[in-house]
Amino acid sequence: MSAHERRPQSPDHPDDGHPGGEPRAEALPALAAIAWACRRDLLLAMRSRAELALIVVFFVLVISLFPLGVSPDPTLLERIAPGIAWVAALLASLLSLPRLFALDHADGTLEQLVLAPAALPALVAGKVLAHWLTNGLPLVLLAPMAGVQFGMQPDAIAVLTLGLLLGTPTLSWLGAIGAALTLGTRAGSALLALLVLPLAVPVLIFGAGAAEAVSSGLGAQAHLSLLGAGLIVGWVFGPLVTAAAVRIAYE
Amino acid sequence: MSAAGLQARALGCTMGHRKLFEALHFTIDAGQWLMLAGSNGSGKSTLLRILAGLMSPESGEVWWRGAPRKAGDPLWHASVLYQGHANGWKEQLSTGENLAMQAGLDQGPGTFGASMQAIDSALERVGLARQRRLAFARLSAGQRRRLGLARLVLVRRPLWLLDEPTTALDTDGQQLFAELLDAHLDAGGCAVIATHLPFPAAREPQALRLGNGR
Repeated sequence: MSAHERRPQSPDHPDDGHPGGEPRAEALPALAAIAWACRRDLLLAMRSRAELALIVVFFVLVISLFPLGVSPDPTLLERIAPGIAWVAALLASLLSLPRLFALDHADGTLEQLVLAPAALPALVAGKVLAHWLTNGLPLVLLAPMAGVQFGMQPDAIAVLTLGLLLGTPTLSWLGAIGAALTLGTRAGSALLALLVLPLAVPVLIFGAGAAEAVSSGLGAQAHLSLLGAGLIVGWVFGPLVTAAAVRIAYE
Repeated sequence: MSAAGLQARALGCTMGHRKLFEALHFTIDAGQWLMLAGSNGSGKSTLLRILAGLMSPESGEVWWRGAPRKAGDPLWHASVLYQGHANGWKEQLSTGENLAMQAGLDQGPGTFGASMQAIDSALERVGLARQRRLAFARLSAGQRRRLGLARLVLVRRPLWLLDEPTTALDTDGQQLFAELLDAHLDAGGCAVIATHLPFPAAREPQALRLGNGR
């Protein structure tokens, strides 16, 4: 037919279905979809590095405010240090959550994600993974510094860091569900905080509790196991729930 | 042969208390296109979103190739190309990166590095070759629309659902869009296009007017 010759370029697409013929039904496989979404969001994050620095500076500032506001007493600070680090991490992660889906919602990217021939939960998982890599991981890496600043014991610092490593992805998933549910609402970010903070309480308790348990000579295994369980539940159900919430936003 | 194309069966939609449309029927076979007209707020974009599966209609069904189309069916998503008001381009990325990203989502992961050539030629076709490395934020409104056309060149899907694709395009751009549409229809594609502006397409569309006129 002349139809194809009329297009001056005929690039050899791998899946260049003739528009009239049967389209290929094969969707983007889940792992490729995760990689695509993660790669894209990481690239976007790299283009606005100032925002990343913002989170880190916020975390450091909040942590440094406590000795000024509470008391400079080293024994007291050492005792409450895990709690401070966790609260600061929670607040810092809330800072960037409203933008997780809102920007994509505003510029139409989210529509394309919903309509793409790829599983939406996988695309969402890629986005959350990128969000954690850019917002959660830096806090995990900063946690030892916070521990040293408050004079924590080395083993307590290790447990605090491990707890954050296990707990922050769960926080990201809770936030992602909240962010998707509050899409398109006014005052979305305030609503998001109200929605996510109560749900984050168990993570906070077990995370801070783990480091405290080590400091007081008890094992942290139970706390860390529960955090790990939360992590697994987050990664298994988070994508499905978040994808459903994104779909609701378009109803 | 209604099995070949897109069919709306008794579609209805209400926004708040206002009925946008009800009992809407139309059939578009391969090689045909539907021009959606109507005043602002008459439900053109809503109808396109319903057809694409972004929204569910209040009543009625959308059929594609002889079966009710289900949102979430990969076959459906591999058949349809939807472009709404916002195209999903990112201001931080360059023109070429935007198109490559979108193509990666549309066509599969292999297209990242492999077909930079295809991306270049698509950009050249729509006259954006020189803007390939330019940040999307610095493109003019018409150039942004042209990037949307580049996606039409690059990604071949049998059904186009386009919302005002020619707004802000110059005469050359409208001519270019008409050529792309003609080639798409000649190859057996279908299209539903919401537009206010008539453009020089070779094939006469079916016309559907939403709102008071209907």
